[in-house]
Amino acid sequence: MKNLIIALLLLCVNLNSDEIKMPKTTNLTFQKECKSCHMAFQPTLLNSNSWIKVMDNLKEHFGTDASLDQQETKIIKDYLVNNSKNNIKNVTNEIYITKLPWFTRQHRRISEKTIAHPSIKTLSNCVACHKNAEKGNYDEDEIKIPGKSWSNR
Amino acid sequence: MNKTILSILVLASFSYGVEPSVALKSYMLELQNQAKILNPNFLNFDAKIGKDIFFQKQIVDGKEISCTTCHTKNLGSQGLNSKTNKIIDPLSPSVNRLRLTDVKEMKKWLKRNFNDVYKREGTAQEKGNVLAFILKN
Repeated sequence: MKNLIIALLLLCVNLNSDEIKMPKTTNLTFQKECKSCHMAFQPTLLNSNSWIKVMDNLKEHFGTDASLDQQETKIIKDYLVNNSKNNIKNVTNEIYITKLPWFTRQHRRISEKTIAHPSIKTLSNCVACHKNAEKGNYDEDEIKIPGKSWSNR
Repeated sequence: MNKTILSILVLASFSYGVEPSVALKSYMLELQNQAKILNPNFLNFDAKIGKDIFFQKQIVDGKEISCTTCHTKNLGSQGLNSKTNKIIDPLSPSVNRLRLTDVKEMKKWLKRNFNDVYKREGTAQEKGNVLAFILKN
């Protein structure tokens, strides 16, 4: 009986919505430069090897030229590497956050049709559904998917 | 009465356009000098040619792209980054007073966006022509 109660309590804990909060991005060069095209992705979203790969190839940055001068590149690279999360499962040093195992798992129920909504268009557009993503808040409670109600994702 | 005055002022500002910033003047001079070195017959930048460069469609990775893809055909409107869906502030300096006021920014974006559309860095003459076009619009 006692074990059953403990098991039920643990189940309740797991059924609570995910509270995902990340540290706020602080580096100003990073914010200024990277936010010109997309959200300033938190450094904790990737491991350091992946960030190094990204920053060493800015001329071909996910299909576009995002090159910066040497000094800015170094400032941003150091900031990302120093604040990266290295226990992320990423053996291939994948640079697409949206292709990481934890990401695909969290977004497995989002259909292509949902993503194609004009306010979303791509899974890398976090703020389309996670309104407070730029503040590091990805809480499940605060998700609002354009064109969808909670029960119909 | 106030509406009339306001409309007159707005119209007046459009007819006068925007004065080039100190930064833009110095950058255009730099580009002019570079253009003359490459082409001794070069005289002045041409906003019409700049417009052609801005509107011309290229095929990159099997898709059509031009500057207007992200910046739209009306420089006074907001643009939209076609890859990330992020809003781009208007390019027109008469609508967005920050445009064409920082040499580093102008150099950075001209280099990047020429690469995105034309797969090469623009020549000094091409850059100057594009800037002349943006200034007028």
